[in-house]
Amino acid sequence: MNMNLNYIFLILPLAILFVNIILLIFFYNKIIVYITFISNLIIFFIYCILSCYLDFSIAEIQYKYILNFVPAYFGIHYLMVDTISYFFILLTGFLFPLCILYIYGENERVNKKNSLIILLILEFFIILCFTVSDFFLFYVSFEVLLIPMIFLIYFFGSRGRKVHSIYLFLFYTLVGSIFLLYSLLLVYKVYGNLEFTSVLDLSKLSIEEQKLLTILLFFGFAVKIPVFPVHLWLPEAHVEAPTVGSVLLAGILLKLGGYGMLRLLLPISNNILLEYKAFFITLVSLSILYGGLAAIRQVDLKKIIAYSSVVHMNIGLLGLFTQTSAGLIGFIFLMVSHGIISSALFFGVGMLYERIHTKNILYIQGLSRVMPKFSVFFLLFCLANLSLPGTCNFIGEILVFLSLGVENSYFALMIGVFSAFFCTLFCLILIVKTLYGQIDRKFGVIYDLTNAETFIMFILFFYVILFGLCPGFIIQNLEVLEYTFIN
Amino acid sequence: MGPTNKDYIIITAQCEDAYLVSYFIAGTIPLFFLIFFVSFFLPAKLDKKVPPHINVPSHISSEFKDQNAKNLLHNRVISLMFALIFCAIIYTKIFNYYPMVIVYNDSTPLALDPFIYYTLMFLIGSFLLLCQLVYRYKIDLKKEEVIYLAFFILSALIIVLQFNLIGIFMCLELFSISSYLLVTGLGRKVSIEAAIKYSLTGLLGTVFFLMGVTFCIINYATVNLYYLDIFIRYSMYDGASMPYLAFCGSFFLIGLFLKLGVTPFHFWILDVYKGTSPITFIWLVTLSKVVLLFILITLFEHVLYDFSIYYEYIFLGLSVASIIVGSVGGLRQANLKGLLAYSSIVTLGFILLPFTYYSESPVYAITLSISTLVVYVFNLFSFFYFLSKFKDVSVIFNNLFEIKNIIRSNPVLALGFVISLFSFMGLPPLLGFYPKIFLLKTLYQSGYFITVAICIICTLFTSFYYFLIIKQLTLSKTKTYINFKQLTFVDKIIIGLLLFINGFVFFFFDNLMYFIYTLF
Repeated sequence: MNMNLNYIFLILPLAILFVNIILLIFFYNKIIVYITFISNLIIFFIYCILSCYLDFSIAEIQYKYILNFVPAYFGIHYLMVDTISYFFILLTGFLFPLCILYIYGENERVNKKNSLIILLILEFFIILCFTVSDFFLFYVSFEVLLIPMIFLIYFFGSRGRKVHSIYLFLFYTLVGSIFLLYSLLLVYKVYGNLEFTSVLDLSKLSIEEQKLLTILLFFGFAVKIPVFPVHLWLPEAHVEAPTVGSVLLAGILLKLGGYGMLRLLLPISNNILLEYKAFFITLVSLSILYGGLAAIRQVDLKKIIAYSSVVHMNIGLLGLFTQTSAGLIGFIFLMVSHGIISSALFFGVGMLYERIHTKNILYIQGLSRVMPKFSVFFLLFCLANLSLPGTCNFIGEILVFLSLGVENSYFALMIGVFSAFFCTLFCLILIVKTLYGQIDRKFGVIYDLTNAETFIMFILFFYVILFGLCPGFIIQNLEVLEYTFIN
Repeated sequence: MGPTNKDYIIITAQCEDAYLVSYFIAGTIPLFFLIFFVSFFLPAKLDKKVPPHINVPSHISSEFKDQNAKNLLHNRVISLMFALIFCAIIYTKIFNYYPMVIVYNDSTPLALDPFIYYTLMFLIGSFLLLCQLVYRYKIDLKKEEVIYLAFFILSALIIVLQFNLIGIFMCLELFSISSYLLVTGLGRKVSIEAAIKYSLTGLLGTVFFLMGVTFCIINYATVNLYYLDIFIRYSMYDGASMPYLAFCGSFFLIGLFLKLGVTPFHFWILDVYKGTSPITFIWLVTLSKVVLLFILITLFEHVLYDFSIYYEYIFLGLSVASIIVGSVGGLRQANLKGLLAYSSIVTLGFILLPFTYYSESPVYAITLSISTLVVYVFNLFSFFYFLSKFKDVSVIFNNLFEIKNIIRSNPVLALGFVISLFSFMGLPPLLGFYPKIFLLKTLYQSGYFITVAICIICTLFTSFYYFLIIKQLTLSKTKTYINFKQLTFVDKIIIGLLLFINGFVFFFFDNLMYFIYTLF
């Protein structure tokens, strides 16, 4: 392994972010704002270049950097990147420049300095989350994300129920972290370190410990996915958060749960998942049905999209619990595609909200007459959200359903396919209620998308179509999963 | 490991180093001077300036009293601080010449070793900070109160030096009496009730402690900790008498638990803390624990070392009980003092929990216990420091919901508050997280699975009520009027320093633990 490449791929993005945060705090002016955007682009390009150097045919850690300056609290800590974490890092690097671009175009009233600082702190810890090699640092950076997220919701949120939503967000996450902390201690007791790779060797864990860890880790990460009984924070947080906050919440923070499940739950529950499969799949199916039904009933645009993300993340989870190669690939594919599509939808709602200052679906109609560009993109993304063939969501769902069929889980398959009906329903509601009909005069003059906003929507749509038509970009690179997780 | 490794230089009256005794005494002389000076000379001069026609009712809280007393307060506090700095210099000089020393070995020995020295420095530093806080809160102290404070400081400093049980008992008694008197404050009805409750429980604790000392005299015929060390070093116990000796030693523990307010004995703590004035509350909640924990560690090191295995389940049960009681009880508190009282009960549980495996690894247990305490005291100080920036402190102390939103009007102060409260909650990268995680890790590896689960769940409850304060500070409805004092440049530097320590302690917390570890 080349030492310099380790620095470039793992340390350089974090260093750029750190310097940028300090610049923003102490020397804020317009040039620094442009530098922020450029540095985020640089980070994205670094991760793009990483794909050329990464060998997708092996499952081992490919680039790692030992953190000498961090005391070895739970074994040696280092940063690393491998095939699984790569796609999440790339998604992070992809979404943040768009968010910053969106903030430039926002209203002047918004304090850009503070929102940029909070955004960069979030990005720092999200990248840390996806690149750390052990459970302890993952847990730490997972929890740190709470503080900037709370203040992003509070400062730049839209409505009066902010405090309520912050309470829900904080305490649901803390309840999840109780389970994670306990399982962290258990893993450390057995293995003597907390590295993700050491968990792959199950010979040290007794059956009882495996069962306990499976339950704990499932509920710990289920809060973040979110699965049915612990999902209530998501719609509230989405509704109250600003556009960028919703985008990051749906685009990246929900993926932390999935990433944690891939890293920890899947290897640990490898031998005994059969016993708990029925329970887990029932919960997941319930949340699919519930999310779909709840989404139909909502009047708030953001809540509809939030419940649709509950549905999609849980369909992905069905794939995880099949323990087949196709299911796992489907899970990761669905997470990536959901990251793109739902963030695009949230961007769209944010753009709409800036113009007409409402998210209530009953007040909005006939947008296609005044905002043609917006309407085209919104229509396309809604169609992508209901997994139209040719878009990336379709590939992910098909892979998951395929794996369910292979595993003979016909009940879950039935629910999954049935949920596609609900998805279609609420996406059609979105389309029909907002885009068609007579435009209401009380909104006054509504402008169409600006160039920056068009660019954001276009680039997101480009990737939706790209991954929809050429899924091989991701699927080929993920076939290695079969050798790591499935015995 | 334990008492066996320590080699003291012993100085008696016949030694040529006997002048050292005068140094030891000299360390405390400035405080005596201060008491006389303050009580007899200073007030007499300044009291004349108060106009006679202003007749302030005595039941009104101290903030609304005569403004002329502020100068007086300033002088008193400054002189206290100078006395403390003088003490610190003298003890540092002694420590540089004699790092391990016992003077007057036969009658009532005093000792100085690294642990004692650093405890002294910690206490003196805390007292300096507290004096600074007294000045910041602009609270008028009566002349009696200054004497009580001086005795409080004096006894706390002398307890640490004592190397015999009688001396510890006497200084502890002085310490307790001065704190009972501090609680009475300006003589409000609530305060007097609180003081009576405090003194009754405290005196009961003293009785138990004295019983322990008596049993010690009966069993070993000595109260000198150096001779008790020799008992431990050569294992001069009869194996059959161990349970009996453990029983006798448990009287010490009960006495200290009563004074600390560990759960079955915690009922006084809420009333007493609610009845005190804000500044007395701050003195009690931060420093009484430090002194009492020092006594507990000293006892474990020199007296209870060999039969600490008998106390394993006592400590386990009591600390888990206090964690549960403190975390659940604080949920419905609308009184900031009551909330902090419950949080102190929780912290007490976390401080005493390491003693459950004292018999396995004594030094590590003490290290964890001390680091928990130090972190808690640090957090409390930073919290009270930030709180001193509010104008209506005594109202805030009595009602949590009087805390106004300051995030728009003063974001720097709000950030400091939020970080220190998240640190109380034990959110990962911050200071409060590390003692907790190391404690839970060690407990889990010793096999206390259920205990760990209870502790983790209880931290959720505690985080709920700490977040209540954060909510009041940052998320409640914004009021237009400004209810805080403007931050000076020094304030901003201090806030930055506290934030730095809280955020970057991740990189050097093991050094802190190692430092405490090497003191033993």
